[in-house]
Parts: sequence; structure tokens; C-alpha cells
Amino acid sequence: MKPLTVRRLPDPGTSHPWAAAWEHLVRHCPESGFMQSLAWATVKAAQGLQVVHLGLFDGETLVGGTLAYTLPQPNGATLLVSPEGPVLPWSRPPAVVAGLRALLPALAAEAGACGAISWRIEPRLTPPRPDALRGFGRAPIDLVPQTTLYLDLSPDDDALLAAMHPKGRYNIRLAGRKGVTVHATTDPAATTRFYPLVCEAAQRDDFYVEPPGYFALIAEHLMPAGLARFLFAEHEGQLLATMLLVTYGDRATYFYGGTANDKRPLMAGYALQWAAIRQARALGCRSYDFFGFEPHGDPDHLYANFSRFKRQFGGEPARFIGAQDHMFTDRLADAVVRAFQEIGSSR
Amino acid sequence: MSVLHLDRRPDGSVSLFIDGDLQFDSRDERIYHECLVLPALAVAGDDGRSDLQVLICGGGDGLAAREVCKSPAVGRVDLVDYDGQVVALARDAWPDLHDDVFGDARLTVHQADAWAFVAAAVAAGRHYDLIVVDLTVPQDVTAAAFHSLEWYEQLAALLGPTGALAVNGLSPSATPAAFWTPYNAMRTVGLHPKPYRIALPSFRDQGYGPDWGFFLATATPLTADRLAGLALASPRQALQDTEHLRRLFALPADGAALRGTVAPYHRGDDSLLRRLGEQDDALPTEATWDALAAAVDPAPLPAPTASGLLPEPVRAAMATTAVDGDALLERVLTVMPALQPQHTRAMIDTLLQDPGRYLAAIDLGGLVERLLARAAELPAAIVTELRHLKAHLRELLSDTGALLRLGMRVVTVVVVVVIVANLVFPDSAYGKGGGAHVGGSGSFYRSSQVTAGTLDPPVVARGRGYRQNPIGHHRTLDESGAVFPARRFRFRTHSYWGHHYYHHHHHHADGPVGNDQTPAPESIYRLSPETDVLDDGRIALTLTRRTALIVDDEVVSVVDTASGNQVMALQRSDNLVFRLSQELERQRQGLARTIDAKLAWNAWVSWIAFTPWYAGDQSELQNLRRMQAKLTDARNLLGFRTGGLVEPPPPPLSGAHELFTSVWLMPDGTGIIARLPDGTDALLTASSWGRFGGSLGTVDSPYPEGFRRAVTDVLATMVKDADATYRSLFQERTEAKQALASLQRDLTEYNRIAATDGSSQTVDYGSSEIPCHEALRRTESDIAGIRQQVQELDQRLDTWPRDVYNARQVLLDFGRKAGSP
Repeated sequence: MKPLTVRRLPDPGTSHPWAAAWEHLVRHCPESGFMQSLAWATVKAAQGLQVVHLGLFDGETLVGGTLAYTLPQPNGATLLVSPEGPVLPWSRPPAVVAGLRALLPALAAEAGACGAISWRIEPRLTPPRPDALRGFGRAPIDLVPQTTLYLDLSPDDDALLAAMHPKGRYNIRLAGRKGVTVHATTDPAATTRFYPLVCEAAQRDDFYVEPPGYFALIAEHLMPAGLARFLFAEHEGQLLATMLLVTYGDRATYFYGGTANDKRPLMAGYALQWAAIRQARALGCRSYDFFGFEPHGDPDHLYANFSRFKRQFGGEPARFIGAQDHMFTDRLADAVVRAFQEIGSSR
Repeated sequence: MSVLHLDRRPDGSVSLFIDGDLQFDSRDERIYHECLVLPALAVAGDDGRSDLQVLICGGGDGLAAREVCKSPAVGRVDLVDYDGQVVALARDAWPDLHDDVFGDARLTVHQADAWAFVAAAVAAGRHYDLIVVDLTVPQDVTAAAFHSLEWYEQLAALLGPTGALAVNGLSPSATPAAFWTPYNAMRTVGLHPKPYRIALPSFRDQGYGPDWGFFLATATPLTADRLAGLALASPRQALQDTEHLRRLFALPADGAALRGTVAPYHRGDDSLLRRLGEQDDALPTEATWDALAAAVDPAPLPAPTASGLLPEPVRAAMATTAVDGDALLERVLTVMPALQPQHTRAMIDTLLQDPGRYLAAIDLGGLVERLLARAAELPAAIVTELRHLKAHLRELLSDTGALLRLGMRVVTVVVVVVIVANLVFPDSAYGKGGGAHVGGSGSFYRSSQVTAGTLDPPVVARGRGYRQNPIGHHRTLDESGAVFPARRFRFRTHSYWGHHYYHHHHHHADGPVGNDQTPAPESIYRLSPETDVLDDGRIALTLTRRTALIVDDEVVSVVDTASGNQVMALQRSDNLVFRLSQELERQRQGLARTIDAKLAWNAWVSWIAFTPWYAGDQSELQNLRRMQAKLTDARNLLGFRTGGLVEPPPPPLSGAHELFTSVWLMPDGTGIIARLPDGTDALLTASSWGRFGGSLGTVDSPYPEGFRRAVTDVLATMVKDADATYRSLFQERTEAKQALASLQRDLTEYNRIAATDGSSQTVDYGSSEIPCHEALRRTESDIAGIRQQVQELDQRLDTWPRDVYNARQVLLDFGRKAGSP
């Protein structure tokens, strides 16, 4: 096999000759997702992260690569992170080996410049971990949930409803009967409607919410391109539930959401999900990712609460190999030596 | 480009949000802008100068410019804002608010980056009499540069000897370490900053902190006398006079003490972001420090932070020799600060759980080799440790937990370096473990749980729950001020609730709810995730979706919440009462502290007299007091216990598993034992109900069908949860075994190659090619790690709690009785 070459691609925020080819690759790589899209990279750049875009070339053809994000720490220690990446033909192991073999030295060079001690990848691969990843180890922190729930969007409405847990179906209908309505918007200014409700839910259900600017950036960079929208479920003008829905390639992702403390018997959260599911299909998506799910019903799991709700909509649980780190041992040794020097000079 | 959102309210007021952050609220923006600009403007024009040259950094909304242009002495204003959208919006959307300032001939708007503009002005040798820095709270390193030494150096150069600098700061109460950081940066570059603060309801509503601070900096120190003689530009709506202004220079004394320790930083450093993450949970005190007491602040000035790898507290902890061994890692993890502004303490604690996982992906053998190769750069003791590690790597590699427990400094440093790299990356927040909630003291289901000798300290409620008016009304609040929907506990309050509970309880044990049912009491306060204080002062523990325990003044009632029936009365164990009382008292003290803090804040707000009284403060205080009274009622109803720990009640039979308070599972799975209010034990099986212990006899009541159903419900939940955990662990083990088998195949293959072609032969290892001996070493190391993992999972799965089998047995028996499959 002819060795692949790696080139650093231009800033994702600019239009460049490889942009369309890259998007095409990502959209058609089932192990990848929107976090490898150029639009997401512009969000990360606006968040203050440095974006490293490496393209893998077979001759002049772009065949894969990765968008890696880092917060450079020239005097410290940091990570290079490729959520939902790298973009490789994962079903063909030799091609994966060839791709990684080309990418790793390029990433090692990037690591030297930004102070990264490891490259963290997170392809949506189901276990067992491919042999090509032998040089990687399980990372301490996942950025994308390791277990999730996929709903296949190919059946029609009736079939989807029929496949749901009866309670889910009942609650969807109940919310409709009680007059809960749902509308979607791609207006970034709606962040200010979305955010307080998510915070209300976060306080109640004890999950972490990023600062408002994070959602404002996502809205600004993804919504104009139609890659994201806010959905709002309302009753008599009162906002009861909201979500940020990301649609990219074949997959729609229920990225963030929350329901109000008020009027909970109206089941607005069910109406919202159902509207999102139908909207996702109308937008051409084939699967709906609930983004985080605990399949067994383990009550101590971090996702236990949300999973009880998500379970009502049917779908198939999916489990991934989780984030994997390729350590740059030389860079780690540098960092350890530097740490000892800092400790020594503090004495 | 940013996302702008203009919130227009029916009363005509507007708020501007940029990227979701509040910029101003027209209802109180005058407090902010008059206080930011007018004192420094007065200082700049103090000696009667005219044609003042003014620079405004940020402030595209035009409101700071409005204040500047109030002075006829101002000759020219350069307003630099990188965001043209804001200026465009300001021109069209709120001309009345900024008095059409963009039409003022003295004002020139520059759409540019403030840093570049200032650098160019310095290079051109320009000077300004007044500089107003009206930038937002930094969220990233780039924005944090606007409080760095380099920034203030440039501003000092632009100011000249007589100029005045006004800087928008942070909240001195909420984030004191961050607030005092720019103060020390200004001092370091030779300016004399004077901090002052205001109360801004809109900022407080957004959670920016109870107060908001500014700095007025000059090259020659500003004195109280000079301040008193300043002529503030008019008209003014918020700032009354210099006497009023003088009051603002009183800052919280505790926070002000930090100015002797918080180091300023260089551009590119993230110290400020880290300090923004250190929300102060200390109580606001009434003690204040007068920023104008001395012309020159005598507080020590810390040297700038050396931008480095280890956060300062970690470096300090590692440098001390007082702690060693595995206690060192524990110590270091305790002092690990937030490395991102959004990281809460709870999140950091979650991220630091099980520190061994930070070693999982490391090729420790390879790292040890590389470090030994650089022995000359390392302390001698560390080199000794590395040699020891190298010699024993094979046995140590298999168990990272054991490796950490050895307490080697070098291992500690490696773990800390990897942790820092992970915490620095902003998205690590996804490894979240809750942001908002505080600890609490766990579950109260069982009485056999060891009572904690020490409790978490009481907390001050920071959530907004108590500000919503009024308490109750289908909402439940907790000690942090978080809001939950109320839980409703439908149950009969029987006329005999009191002394005759036991002899008669069975009369109403089943059947429909009668007319004696009062409206279903609701939870009003959440003591722990499953424990609620009801509005009538009783305490309810939610066991399952349809089974709850109601702790009353004499008994614990098992209640079927679907039918509302009390299905059994149980003994209230002293241990349960003690633990509930202790927790109620702790949280009651927390509310008392919140009330004190609230009173102190209200006193301060009315003293500085911008707004006569914040509208929500009265009702918030009232809510807090009402809730405190509710907790007092609950504690009194329970019968307040003081004194030392109360031992858990002895189980009726050795080996009996406590299902919930006063109810045990028989150790052989033959039934359930309930401890009745009179202290006797009764045995419930599928077909019988009788006295248990010593001599068998009958219980003076018929078979408690409702209780059997409730117990079945609890057992079913227990078994379901245990099964789920089992399945999850089983899957984990299956995957680990698969990985182990695959590694062992590789090992065999590498051994074969080594035997035939020699160990220097290059082999495929994952996606790379390495010498065979290296592949062997790394594969052996991976095998050791995974084998350990498999062994641990085997251990857990093979010693699955006996109670689960027993519970399943009882369920089967009970199920047969009920005729279900």
C-alpha cells in the first residue's frame, strides 16, 4: 500500500479547497459526527481553543484525517483532543493502520509545539477495541458519552410510536391533548430563552451546564448553516421544555435540554422529544442520538435519571470503546522533569 | 462576531446580552456607568484642565461614553470596540439611553481590538487623561490578558503622570482572589489603584455576585481628602455626591486581606481564570477594609506568577516535606484548584476520584526509561525512586491503586501532571458530576449505616429558590437554594395517630381511602435526595415509586402512596431519629447563616443607598425565616436529640440484612422481620404473620396484605437495581476478557517471532512498528493491567451479595402467594 501523507489544512473558519471534501468524509463516517465538522471547529476556535486540522491524503485525494482541539500550554501540560475522530475508514483495518501511522508523527509534532502529553481520540466504535489502537490506552475522561441510545428514524410515525414504551406513547399523546405545542427556531438570539430553563433543570437534576456564552457560540456557528436549532415546548404561552438539537450527516443529536419545574403533569418533555424526532427525520437524518444513556438500569450511574426518561422512546442502546489516549511519552517526560524543577524552585 | 440579544420588557426597560452574558440592564445601568466613569473623570479634570483626551476600551453600547461626554472639559473621546454590531445596535436601539452620544462630535468610534489599538497608541507616544476600561468578565486566556501586567504597563504608559484610569472589575465578594488580581497588577506597574464597589440588582440576578467592583488608578495616590473635593459631572441619577462616593470604598475585609497574596500575572497566563473558578463560600462579614485609609497601600506585593505547569497551591504542597508517602497525593488532590472558570469544587472532586485511572494509558516502563535517561535533571531521591520502580515494575504495573499507595513522589508527580493536562482542557467538564448540589449526609433509609462522627459544615444558600415568592406552592427547596417540584405524599392521617397506633393500625390497613383523608401533604424542603420535610413538619422517605416511610412523632409508617394507606407502623429507631435530627439541625444552621449573610448584605445595600431596597430581598428573607421555622417544627416533632452517636439498633437475627429502617430480610431468605412500635419483632412470610424471636407466638393482627405488597415493591426495586449493576459489571468483564484474549494472542505471536527472528526484529504494534522486545514488554504490561481488572470484576461478581438472592427468594414466595408468575 502506498503510504498516505498528512497535510495541515487551513483554518476551518476560512473557505478552502478541501472544505467540501472534508465535510463529505465526516458526514459519511458513521464512527464520526458533528464534533469533527468545520462548523464545530469554528465554535471551538471561538471558545479560545487552538484547532489543528490534519488531512490524510492518498496522492491528491483527501481520504481522512482529524480535527484536534487543544488549549496550548507551552510551559505546561495539555491535551490534543479529537472528539468523534479521527475520520478513518474504520471498517477496513489495514486502512486504519495506514491512516494512524501517517497521523501519529504529525500529531506528535503538534504536541511538541502546544505542550500536549497525549492525543485523545473518541471514534464511535463498538467494542472490542480494534488492534490498530494497541498503542492507545483508556482515557480517564470521556467527552462523548460512552453509552448512548440510538433511535432508528426510518419507520413512520405510527411504527415509531408503536415501538415505544407504552408510557412514552401515552405521555406524548397526553401532552398533545393538554395543548402543549412545540416550535423550533434557528435564531441564535433564542439562546436567552433556552439557557435559563436548562439551568433550572440542571439545578433540579444536578447536572453541569456550560456558561451561556458556550451555547451562544454554538448557536451562532451552527444555526445559520441549519446544523442546530432550539426547540421550545410551550403551554398557554408558558415555556415548559427546551432542547438544543444538532443535525449533522445521518445523525440528529439531542445535545442539551431541560424541562421546567412547573406543570410537570403536562409531560412537555415528551412532546418536545417527539417533535425533535420527527423534525430530525424531516431534515433527512436516519438516526436520533439521545446522547448519553445507561442501558442496564443501574441506579448509581451518572445517567440513571435521564435514562429512565429516554428509555420510554424505544431505540437501541449503543456502547462505544470510550475515549482512548495515545501518550506522547517523551512529552510526558518533559512535563514531569519540568514539574520537578518547579517544585524544586518553590522550596 | 458575537451573539447579541436585546431583551425588551413590557415596562420599556431593556437588557443587552452578548454571547449570553448580561452587558447592561437599563433599570440599573446608571449605577454601573456613573460609578465606573464619573470618579475617574473628576480626577482627570481635577486641576481645571480642559480638552481632556479620553480613551474608552469596550463600551460599544455608548453608555460609558454618555458619562464621559457629560463633562465640558472633555475634548476628544476614542471609543475602541472590536464588535461593530454592538455599536450599530446601540445607535439604533437605545439612543435615548445614551443620549445620542454617537452624534457627539468629540466621539470617534474605532472598530478594533483594544490591545492592538493601545499598543499602537503607546508606540505613537500618545497620552490620555482618562482611560475607561469597560470590558466584560474574561472567559478565556485572550480576554484574561486585559488584566495582565503587560496590559496595565501599556495603560500606565498611555496615562502619563496626571491621568486617571477607570477599570471595570469583578465581584469582590463572590470571587475575591480574582478581584484582587488586577489590583496587584496595577500596583506592580507603578499605579495606585483604589478599589470600590456597588450593588447592582441585575448583575446579582445573573449570578455575577452580590456586589460589583471597580478600580480607580492614578500615578500619584488618590487620598480621601482629594476625593472629597472632586467635582462630579452632572446630571446624575445614581451617584449622589462625593460623600456617597466615599462609602463605596469600603470592601469586605476578608477578601481585601488576599491582596497580600494573590500574584499578578503575565499575558497568556490563566491565573485569573482559575481564580474566577474559586467561588468564595465564606460568609460575607460586616467587617470592611477602607481602601482610602492609606494613600499608599502598605500590603505586601506578591511577585508575578511564574507561568508554569503546576498550579501554585499544588506546587506549594509538593514542595513541603511535611507530608509524604501516599498522603502527599491526597493532599495535592485536595488543594488542586479550578483550572477553568466553570469548574466547580464538586466537579473537580468528581474528576479527581480514582486517580489511578490517570495512569491507565501511560507506558510507565517507557516513561521510567526516559526519566532515568534524564537523571541529571532530577533530584537524587527521585532517581532512586525511579530505579526502584524500574526493578519492580512488573509486579507494580498490574495494580495502579497499589502503585499509588506506595506513595512514591515520582508517581505522584506523574499523576498530577496528567491530571493538570486533563483539567486544563475546558471540555473536561463533560466528565461532570453535578455542578450545583452540595453534599448532604446521605441516605436515611437504613439505621444500620454508620453514623458520621462529623457532618459537612452548614452551607449558605446560593441558589435562587428562596427568592421566588413564596415558599411552598408545589415547590421544594434545599439547603443550597435549588428548586425541585414538590413530592406529594398521599396518606391517611388517622384519628388514632398518636398513642393507639399499634393496637388499631390494622383496622385501616387496607381498603379505599375514606373521608378522614386530609389533602395530600407536600414536600416543602429536601433534606437529602430521598428525604423530604413535609409542610406539616413530618419527614417522608421515598423508598420506591409507590412506597414511602413517614416519620411521625412516635412511629414510622410504611405508606402505599398509590392508595394512601398506612400499611404498617414500625418502631422509630433512635439512630434514625438522631441522624435526622442532626441533619435537620445542620441544615437549619445553614439557613441561619444564609439569613445572617442576607441581613449583612441588606444592611450594606441600604448603607450605600443606591436603591432604597432591592425588591426581592424582603420576601427572600421572609422565605428563609419561614423555612427555618419549618425545620425547627420538624426537629421538634421528631423530638430533638443531642449528645453523642446513637448505636444502630441490633438486628433481630445475626446476618439479617436491613431492608429499610426497622425492617430486615431473613438471612436464609425465608421472610421479612419488622420491628413493631412496642419493640417486638414480627416475621412476615408468604403465608404467615407472627411474633418473632425467643418464643414464637401470634401477633394481635391479621395478615398485613398491604405491608406485604410494600415490601414486595421494595424488594423488587432492590433486585432490579442489583441486576442492572450485575449486568453492567458482567459486560465490563466480558469486554476485559476479550481484550485479554486478544493481547495474549499477540504475546504468543511476539514470543514466536522473538524465538525465530530474534527480539530486535521489528514488529507491528497497533499502528506502529517497534522492536519485538519492546512490543513484548508493552504487551506484558497491558496484560498485567487487564488481568488485574478481570480479577477485580471476578471478585465482585462471584461474591454477589447474598441478600440479593434472599430478596429474590422472598419475592418468589410472595409472588406465589399473590398468584403472580
